[in-house]
Amino acid sequence: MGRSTLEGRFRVIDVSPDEVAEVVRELFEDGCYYATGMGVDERPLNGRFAVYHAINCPKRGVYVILRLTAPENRPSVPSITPVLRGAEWAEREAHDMVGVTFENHPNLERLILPEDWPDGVYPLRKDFPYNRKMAGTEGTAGVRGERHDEATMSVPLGPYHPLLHEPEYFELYVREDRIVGADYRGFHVHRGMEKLAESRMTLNQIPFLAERICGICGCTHSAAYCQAVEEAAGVEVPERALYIRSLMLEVERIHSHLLWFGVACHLLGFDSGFMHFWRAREYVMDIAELITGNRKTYGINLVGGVRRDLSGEKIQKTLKLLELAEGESREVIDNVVGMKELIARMEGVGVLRRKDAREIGVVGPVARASGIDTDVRRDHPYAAYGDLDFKVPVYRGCDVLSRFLVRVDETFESFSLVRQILENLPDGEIINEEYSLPYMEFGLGSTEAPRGEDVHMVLTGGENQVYRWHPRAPTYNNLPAVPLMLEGEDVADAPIIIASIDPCFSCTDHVSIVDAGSGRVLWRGPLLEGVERLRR
Amino acid sequence: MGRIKLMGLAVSIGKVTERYPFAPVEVPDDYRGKPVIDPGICTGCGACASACPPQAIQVKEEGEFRVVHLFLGRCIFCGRCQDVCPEGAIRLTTEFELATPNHDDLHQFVRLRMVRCVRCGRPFDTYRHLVRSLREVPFIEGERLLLCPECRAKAPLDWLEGGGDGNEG
Ligand code: SF4
Ligand code: SF4
Repeated sequence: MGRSTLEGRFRVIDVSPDEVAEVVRELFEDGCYYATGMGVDERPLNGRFAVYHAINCPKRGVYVILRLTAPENRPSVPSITPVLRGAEWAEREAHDMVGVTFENHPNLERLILPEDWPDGVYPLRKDFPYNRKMAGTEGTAGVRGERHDEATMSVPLGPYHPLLHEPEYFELYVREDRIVGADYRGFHVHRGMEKLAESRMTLNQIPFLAERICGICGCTHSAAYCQAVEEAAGVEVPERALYIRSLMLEVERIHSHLLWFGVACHLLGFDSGFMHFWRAREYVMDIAELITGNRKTYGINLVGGVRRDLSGEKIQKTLKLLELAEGESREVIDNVVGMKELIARMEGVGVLRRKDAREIGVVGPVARASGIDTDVRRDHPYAAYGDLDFKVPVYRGCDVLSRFLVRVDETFESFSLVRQILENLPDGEIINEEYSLPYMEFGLGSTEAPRGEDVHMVLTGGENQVYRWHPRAPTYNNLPAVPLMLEGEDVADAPIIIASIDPCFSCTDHVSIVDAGSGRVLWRGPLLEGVERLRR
Repeated sequence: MGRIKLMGLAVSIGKVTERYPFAPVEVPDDYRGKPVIDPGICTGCGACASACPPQAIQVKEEGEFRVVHLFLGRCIFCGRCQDVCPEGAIRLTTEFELATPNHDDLHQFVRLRMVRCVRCGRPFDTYRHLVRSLREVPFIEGERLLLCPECRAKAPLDWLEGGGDGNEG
C-alpha cells in the first residue's frame, strides 16, 4: 500500500489495482460496509483519473478511503462489485459521469444518464463545460426482459410513487397477487448539482444548494458538506456552533420521523393517524421557525459554524413547544402501536435479511431494523454528539414493523437530545471565519440523517471553490434493497414496503445533467438490474 | 383500543386548521421573508450579489448608473445578503405573501449615479460608495480614489504630490 494520510475521521489510502479487491474483502469481513464512491477527473493535476471508494468502518470509528488512479489514455480500474455488491451503483455512476471503466463489473449499464445521452460524453469531466447543451441521440427504448413466463404480468408502479409524490419507477412482476420480482429505475430528476457547485459556486454558497438536496432532511446535507470542508481545511468550529448544529439536526429528525409515521398510517388506510401525527409535528415546525427563521431549509450552516445564535428567550419558548410536541407524539404513538390491525399489516412484511442488508450496505433505520447496530452519531461523533447521551435502537425483525419501531424509539431519543442540548449549551462564538482553503485537500463529512448515513466528499479547489463535491444521500444505499423486500409479497403491500425505507427518490438523483427531451422514452427492459444482480 | 382513543382525542381537540388566509398567521420577528433594499443607504458595492447563492441579486452598469437588481423569483430567502451587506442596506422582512399577478412586483431596482474617472473619464464607481471610501482612507490616498482602478495602477504615486503631470486631460 502506498501513501496514507491519517485524519481523525478518515484515512486516505492509495491502493494498487491488484490489491484493491483483497483489501475490500478484508474490510468487509471486519464489519465495514460500502458507504459511497466517486470518480474524479484529476487530469489537470496529474494526467490521471481517480476513483475514491469510501468504506465505513463503524467499529473503528473511521472511514477508509481507497483511492485508485488510472492514466488518461486507459481510464480503467478493476471493479470491486464482485467482492462487495454495495459498490455497484457508485461504480456505474463514476462510469456514467467521469468515464472510468470498471473491469469485471457485472453490469456496467447506464445508471444515471438518460438513455438518449450520447456515448463517450462525460459530464463531470473538467473539460465538459457546465452550461453545454447536448442534443439527444436516438436512444434505446429498451427490450423487455425475457425472464418471465406467460403467467407473469408486469405492473408498473410509477412514474410517481402513489403517495410520496416523487418520481420513481418500479416494475413489479406479478403472478396472481404475488410479486415475484421487481426492478427499479430512478434518476429521473438529476439536476447536475455537483457540476453546478464545482463550476460556478463559491464555498459558502454550496451549503444552500446542499440543503436543497432534500425537502425534508436538508440540514443534514448542509452540515455534512460543511464538515467535509472543515476536515479538508482544518477549520476549528466553536463548541456553541457544534451544539446548535446538533440541535437542528435532531429537530429535523423529529419532524421527519413524525412525517413518516403519518405517511405510513395513510398508506395503511388509517387517515386519522396521519392527521394526528402531523398535528403533533406542527409544534416541531414552529420550533424550527423560531430558531432559524423558517419551517424548512433552516439555512443555518456555513463552513466554520452556524449563522444564528439562540437567545435565552428562544430557549424557553423552544422547551415549551418541545413539551407539547413530545406529549402529543407519545399519546398518538402509544395508541397507534396498540392497533392490532395496523401492526398486522407491517409484521413479517417486506423482509430484508441481515446478510443482504450488510452486503448492500443499507443505512439508518433500515439497517437497524435488520439487526445491524450502526449510527454515525455514535460511531463517528460529529457536531455535539460526543457529549450527549442517547441509545441506538436495534431491532431484529427485518420487516416493516421493525423499521417503524426503530423510528419510534429514535424519535423519543431525539426529544431527549434536544433537551440535553438546550440545557448544556456552551457559551461563546458561533462561527470561525479565520481559515484559509488549501488546494486539492480531501475531506469527508458524514451525518446520521433521519434516513441513515449521509456522506459528502470534497476536494478543495483553493480560491474559495471546491474542485470536486460528491454528496450521497442515504436512500442511495437503501433503494437497491427494495426489490428484495418486495419479492414474494402481495401487490397491495408494495406501497408500504417501498415507503418503509422512507425513500427520498429525488435526493438520490443528485448528479446528472438532464437535457430537454430526455426521459420521454420509458426505459423498461434492460432494468432487470437491481434484484437480478443482487440475487446472483 | 387505540382507534377509539384517537377518535376521542380528535373530538376533544376539535379543529386545528388555521383560518388563514381569512385570518393572519403570525411569524417570529426574525422570520426570513422578502428581502428589501433601502435605496437611500445602498452604495452599490455588490457584496450581496457575490454572496447570493442563486444569483437573485445582480449588479449591472447602465451608462451613468449602477443598478442593483433584486429578483424575488430567484430568491431562496437565505439572508446571506443581509449577513454580508456592509451598510445594513438590505434586510429580510417578515413579509411572505409574495404571490402576484404582476411580474414587476417581484423586482426591485436601486439606481445609483456613477463617478467618472478624473483621468480617463470612464464611470467606475458610485458616488455614494466613493464618499464612503473617502471617509475611511487618508486624504492623500483619498484623492487617488478619484481615478478608476486602471488609471490608479498606472499613475505614479507622486502624482498628487506635484510630480508627474497632475493635469486632467
Ligand atoms: S435572501 Fe438569499 S437568495 Fe434572497 S437575495 Fe438575499 S442572498 Fe439572495
Ligand atoms: S445592498 Fe448592501 S451589499 Fe448590496 S450593493 Fe447595496 S450596500 Fe452593497
